[in-house]
Amino acid sequence: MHSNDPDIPLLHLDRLGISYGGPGVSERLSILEDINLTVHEGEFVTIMGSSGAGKSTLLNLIAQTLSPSSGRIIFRGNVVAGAGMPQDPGCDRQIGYVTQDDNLLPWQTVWENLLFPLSLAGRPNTADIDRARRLLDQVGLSDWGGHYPHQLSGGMRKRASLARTLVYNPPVVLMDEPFGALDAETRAQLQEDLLKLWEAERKTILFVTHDINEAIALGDRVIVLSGSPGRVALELQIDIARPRSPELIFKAPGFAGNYDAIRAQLRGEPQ
Amino acid sequence: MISRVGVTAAKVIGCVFIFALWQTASVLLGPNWVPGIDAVLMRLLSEAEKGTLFRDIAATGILFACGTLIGLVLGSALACILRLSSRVDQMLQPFITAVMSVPKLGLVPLLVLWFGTGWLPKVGLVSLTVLFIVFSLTYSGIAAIDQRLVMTARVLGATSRQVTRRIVLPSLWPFVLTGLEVALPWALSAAIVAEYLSSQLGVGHAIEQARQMSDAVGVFYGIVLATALVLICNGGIAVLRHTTIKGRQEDQ
Amino acid sequence: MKKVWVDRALLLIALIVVWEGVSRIAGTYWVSSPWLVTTKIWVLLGNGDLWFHARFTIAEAVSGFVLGAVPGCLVAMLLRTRPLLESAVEGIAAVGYAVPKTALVPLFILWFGVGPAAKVALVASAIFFIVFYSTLRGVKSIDPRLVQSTRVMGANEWQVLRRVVWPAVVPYVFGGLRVAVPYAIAGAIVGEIISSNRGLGYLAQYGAMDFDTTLVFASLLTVMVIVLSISGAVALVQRRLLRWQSVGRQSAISVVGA
Repeated sequence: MHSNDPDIPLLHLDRLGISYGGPGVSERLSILEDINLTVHEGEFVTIMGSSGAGKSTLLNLIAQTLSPSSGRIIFRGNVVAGAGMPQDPGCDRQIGYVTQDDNLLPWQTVWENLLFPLSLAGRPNTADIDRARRLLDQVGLSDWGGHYPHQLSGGMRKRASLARTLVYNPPVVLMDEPFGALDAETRAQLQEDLLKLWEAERKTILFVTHDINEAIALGDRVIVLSGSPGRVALELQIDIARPRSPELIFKAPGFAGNYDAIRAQLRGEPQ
Repeated sequence: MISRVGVTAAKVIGCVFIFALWQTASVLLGPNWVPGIDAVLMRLLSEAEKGTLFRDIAATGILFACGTLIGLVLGSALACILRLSSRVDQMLQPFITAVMSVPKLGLVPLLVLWFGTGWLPKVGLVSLTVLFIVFSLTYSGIAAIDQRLVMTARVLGATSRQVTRRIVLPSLWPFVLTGLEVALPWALSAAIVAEYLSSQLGVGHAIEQARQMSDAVGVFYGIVLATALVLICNGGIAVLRHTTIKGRQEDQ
Repeated sequence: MKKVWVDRALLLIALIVVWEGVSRIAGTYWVSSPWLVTTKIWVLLGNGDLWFHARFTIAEAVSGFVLGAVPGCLVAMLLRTRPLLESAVEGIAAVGYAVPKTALVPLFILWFGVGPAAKVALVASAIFFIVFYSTLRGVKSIDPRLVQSTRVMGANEWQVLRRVVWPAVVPYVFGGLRVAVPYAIAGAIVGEIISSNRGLGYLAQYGAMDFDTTLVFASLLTVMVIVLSISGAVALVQRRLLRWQSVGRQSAISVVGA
């Protein structure tokens, strides 16, 4: 069909919304409402919002671990999710999902964990194994394939988790505050490694964070969700040239303007 | 997420289901194999009227209570004593495992041999059963005491005795209670076995006597009594737990 | 590390000495001596009697164990994604666990006669609950995020069960199995003491009736050895299967408790 037509956005969220609760309108608790978002292939979009604004819920909707109450998700021109449609978690392996927990299977070695998504699909073949080996090297865990997760540090487990997500080559990767539980130094290192991987593989990334610096450093665009129910309150194009240095992003020209705009939105101040 | 109502309803349905199963089995297999619920209820009533029900429960109950108390005290005390030094602890590990692996009920012949058929071997058996279980759980409970709490207390200037009283004992209490809870059915089992072999009274004796006369109703009646006893005690412990342990997350 | 073994050896010797001492003071009529017990075991081994009886006890224990453990494990796992069923079953199980298992012995004898079947039934009824509760704890401890992330990677229901649920539950199942071993043997022994003419429990009871403390001690000691061996074997299997766990967690899960 028109799957790889560059003019068709990779992902389009059309008036997406989700609510919980009883049948009566007044009983329902609306988490997200009227979310419209277009993401093009290869974009790095960071998502911010105050606590409870529904950032994780948004990712869960895209990953289809939750079902929307209204609106649709259109992937490569096809409607893949909507109210009343059946859920397909991971959207047929088109979506990768990295969270704050590494979610590695503790009873398998790092290498086995890496191959796990492939083994679910009946693979891996030699091409897959080569890719897995390459990813292992790229995340700097070449010597740790035979170890178990509990033998690795938090940062290393995070890298393994990342590699595992990329191994089955999903075009879209969702990341929900993946570096939140790490110390500042490890986080900075991982941010740089992530950017390198992104540039090498040209994945489309949706990255949730509560750290404004991180959002500006990593993203082509920053989306800010606000309010209850959450809506898209701000869409900011980040025009800082790449390659960027996450640790020193505050020195980049144009940083201050972006920072202030986002901060104002998060604080609920008028623009 | 299911509601409280849902949970209670589910349990009620579960009970109803079991009773239905019981009654069906009785009809299918005949009253000699599985007496009907009505027959058992009638027996409960008649024995209550005669007073034998209460006599048997009292006999077994007293035996059970004494043995449990002794076992509880000795078990927890032993756990505390043996945990005093890590060297002693390490040294004792295999011996404790070895002793725990002898089935307490297997000691019945020995106890009867030594103490005859009076109340002593029976109480001894119940105590031993409770002792081992309470000991084992309290012993590992001591290991689980949050060392950070102890250190914080020390930093705040607590003496050893204060640490024991204000941190160690309250931390241990849930484990002791859990040990008691786990031990109860086994303790009653021990009392009943003791009664099988040497008694004129008690629930265990009633069951065995019924069996010898091929009185299926009597056997079921005894089992119901025994179970009721355990459930009542469980309830008691739950109340105890509730009143003495406030504001803590239970891992039950 | 070595020091511990020296301590233990010394303690063992001390215990044997104390045993011998008590035996002398009370008289071997009341407390048999270590020497007498050892020779008795030797004789019984030699004439095959010990093994004859041990075989019955072990067979009863093992059959009952399997008969109780498998359903216990399966039922618990079945309850994983069915919270309402779980409540219902938990309610029933609470009552079931409260029934003192030895109270069921006369019932089983009434039903199955004085043969091994009654003992097997006793063991099965005890083991079922132990394994059920341990497995249930394991099922409840499964991190739902692990399951969810596996779903996102495209796993179907069967794959989730086989590759995530089962491996997560295995440590708890093994914890339950380890706790259950002494109870299995105990169940067999109790059944034998109450009514049997075979088995180690019967042997102990016979010794008691005959005022032969040596025989009683000998049978009990044999029971202890058997329980320790089987527990040890299970522990070994557990260690091999669970290499992936950090050591602290392993011991935490094998604590006694239903």
